[in-house]
Amino acid sequence: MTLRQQLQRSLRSLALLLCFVAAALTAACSAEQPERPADTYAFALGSDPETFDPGSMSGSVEGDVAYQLFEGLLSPAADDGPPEPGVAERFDLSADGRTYTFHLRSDARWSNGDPVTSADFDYSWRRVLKHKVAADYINLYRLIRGAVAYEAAPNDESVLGLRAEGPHTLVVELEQPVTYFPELVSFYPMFPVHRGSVEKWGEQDAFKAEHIVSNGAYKMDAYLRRLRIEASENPYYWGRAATAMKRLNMLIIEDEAARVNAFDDGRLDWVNQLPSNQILSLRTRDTFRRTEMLGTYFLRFNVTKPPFNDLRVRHALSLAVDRELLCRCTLSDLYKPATGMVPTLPGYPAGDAVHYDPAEARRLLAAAGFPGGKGFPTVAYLYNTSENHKIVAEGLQDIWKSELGIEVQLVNQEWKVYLDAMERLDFDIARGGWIGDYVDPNTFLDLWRTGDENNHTGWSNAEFDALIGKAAQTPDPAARLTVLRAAEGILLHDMPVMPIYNYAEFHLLRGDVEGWKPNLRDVHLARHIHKRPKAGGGR
Amino acid sequence: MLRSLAARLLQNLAVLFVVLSLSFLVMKLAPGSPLSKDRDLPPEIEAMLQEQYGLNKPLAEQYFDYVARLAHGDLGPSIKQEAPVADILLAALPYSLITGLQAMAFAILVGIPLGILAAMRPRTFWDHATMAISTLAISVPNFVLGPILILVFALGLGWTRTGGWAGWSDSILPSISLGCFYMAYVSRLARSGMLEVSKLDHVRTARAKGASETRVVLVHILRAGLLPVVSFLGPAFAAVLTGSVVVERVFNVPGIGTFFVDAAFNRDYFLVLGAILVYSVLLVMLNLAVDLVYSVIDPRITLDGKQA
Repeated sequence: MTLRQQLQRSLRSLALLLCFVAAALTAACSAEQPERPADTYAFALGSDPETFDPGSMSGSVEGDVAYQLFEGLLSPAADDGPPEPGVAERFDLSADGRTYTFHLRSDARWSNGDPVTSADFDYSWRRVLKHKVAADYINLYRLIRGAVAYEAAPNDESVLGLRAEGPHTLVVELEQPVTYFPELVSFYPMFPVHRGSVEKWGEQDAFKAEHIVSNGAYKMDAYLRRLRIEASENPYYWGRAATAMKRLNMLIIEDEAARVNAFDDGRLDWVNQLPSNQILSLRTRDTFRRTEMLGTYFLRFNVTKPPFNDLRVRHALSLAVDRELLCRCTLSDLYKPATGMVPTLPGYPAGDAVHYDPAEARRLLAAAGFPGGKGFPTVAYLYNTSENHKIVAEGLQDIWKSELGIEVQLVNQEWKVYLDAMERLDFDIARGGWIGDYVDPNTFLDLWRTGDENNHTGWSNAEFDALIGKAAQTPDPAARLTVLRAAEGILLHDMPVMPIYNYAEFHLLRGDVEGWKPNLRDVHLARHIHKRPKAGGGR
Repeated sequence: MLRSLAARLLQNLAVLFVVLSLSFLVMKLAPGSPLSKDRDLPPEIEAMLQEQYGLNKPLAEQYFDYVARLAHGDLGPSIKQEAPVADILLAALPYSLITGLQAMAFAILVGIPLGILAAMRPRTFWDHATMAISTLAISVPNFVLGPILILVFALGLGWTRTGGWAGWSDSILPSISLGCFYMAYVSRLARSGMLEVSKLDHVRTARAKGASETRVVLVHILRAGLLPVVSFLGPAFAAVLTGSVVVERVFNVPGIGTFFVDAAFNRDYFLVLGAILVYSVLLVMLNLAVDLVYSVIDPRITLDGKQA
């Protein structure tokens, strides 16, 4: 047999195989989705929660679980409205804006039937300040009067401005008039823990799946690592009558494409964090939702060394970028261009300090000693491994080359190496992002104070620090926002950071799911959800 | 024989010690901390966690602490998961073992017959078809094969779910996806091994004496012809049993592979070292098993490597 004949035979065999695959693919059209229980709500988590202890948690996955199992004094609204009553039915605020008195409902219960009282909050919050747990969000607790002194001397209980006055009244005195404090008490790090369980099982074991006692609409039934968390309604929850979803199935699926598959085979009602390379095709579906997020994508400049210690250079790089065009073309119109460090918030209109002016950019660069980019050193642009970050980096590299004639070298690092480089200020330009903790400009601004652990630019401005401090002392909400706007103005003038676009989140949501509303924090409580009976699920 | 076995076990213990020591050093030399996050921890909290996990101690002290823990059978805590490493790995291992064993069963039960078929009918349609299948199976990577299997059998035909693990049926697609490459390799090794042996004198003698073709194949060719397959199976078993990151991610199988990789990315030192330990134990033990099988199949080979 000649070589040609052998090849022909091999090809024929391959063709047969391919025909089989094609036939099977053609058949892949009509499989019906399994029926989904009407009282069960299923959604995806991107990873295992690191902990189930609200006191020590941080991160969106942990939050997604905590919001279902626990409840704070107040509870997040389904939309961007102010927090709703939670364990507390209402609260009073003193005239100086520093003392909150929360009135707790008498029918609030833990999942084992114990009453939820003001003593539970007193115990839980003091537990964090006593360093019984490693609380990532301990700074929120430091807003309480005397918190720092209490951390240093936890035996003196009277130092802390927190007291339970009877079982249903909790008084919280703050160091400063924190206008967004209601937001904070609806945020998961300030949720209570069950004292009896902690004392019985210990600080860590009390939050093992089999031991957790929670006070939210749902209680933990089972946790299978890397598979799912199952929860069912808390039989003692005060709002049980209005809770339509009796069971929760939180599927832990790390791979983004696998999450879409799980939605397609009918196992999920809602999924977010979709694969970026599929968004363009997914957005044609009727189940696709795009929501604005409380987050900003930006670049950090290392202002401690040339050339970015020169304000004119930083401004030149920012002015050269047409963010509208970048978002429309490079980012496929999925995100909105940033107009400042703070995204548009209720009561805080969009800023206008970020402009596109290539002629001015070139003038500034020339004034800094680099006319037409001549003599400008090759600088490194650091980003962590991600297709999206790569696309943005390449887009900006191209823009700066064509508009300013400067060379930017892209450096891609693995996540932890990237964080290490940020920590050591070992970069020229680095991509960054910030997701706000609460709906208030302060969460996007106070991290740029001198010495803040999240600053990572080397930038320091006493006037900015003073304004952030002044805002914290201003009880009048409108006046406070004016001060914060002035602080943001200084930040954008000095430009240690260059805002690029505002984050958005992408979701697939079944057509029969009702009560799910878009919100900036991307928090969706299952107790707000109900399903329309006998409706098509949609794909 | 027993003395050789004991010597090999001691050697293996030394190998494990070296592997773990080097892994510890490499993990510690890698930049980044298990405690670093996109939102930095307050300094006091970071110090508290460093104290809790002994990360503030000098490197040598951390190493000896770890060795002492290990000597007591304690693999340490996972820094990211708030659970003992042993618990995490013990929970994950069965998923990887089931998927891996089924993948190898698929590789052997399909691969060897295909190899025999090809070797017995060289340069015929069967040989070409078999080798075409194996070429395709070797060439198509897991991350392509997995989604195709999902598209066809889960989303298309609805025979299985797209992922997760609620029962045995969820293990079929990951096992096939994982086993395809090995099936192809086994069939090729079986084919070439058998073709080589079939030209040897003792086979020709057997045929000349009038032995039936079945007897020639099963008794005279297969035994020696499969030696390359056997030596391949040892490391292959270790590789599939410890899980495949790609297959586990695509099919959402909670096996040991994804824990290993995620732990490395997270600098979750104890979990990484625990996973390396499991992987190393499997590897050295399976290699030892292969050598034992070798000495049974081919009496010329002994466990200590000397010619009998």
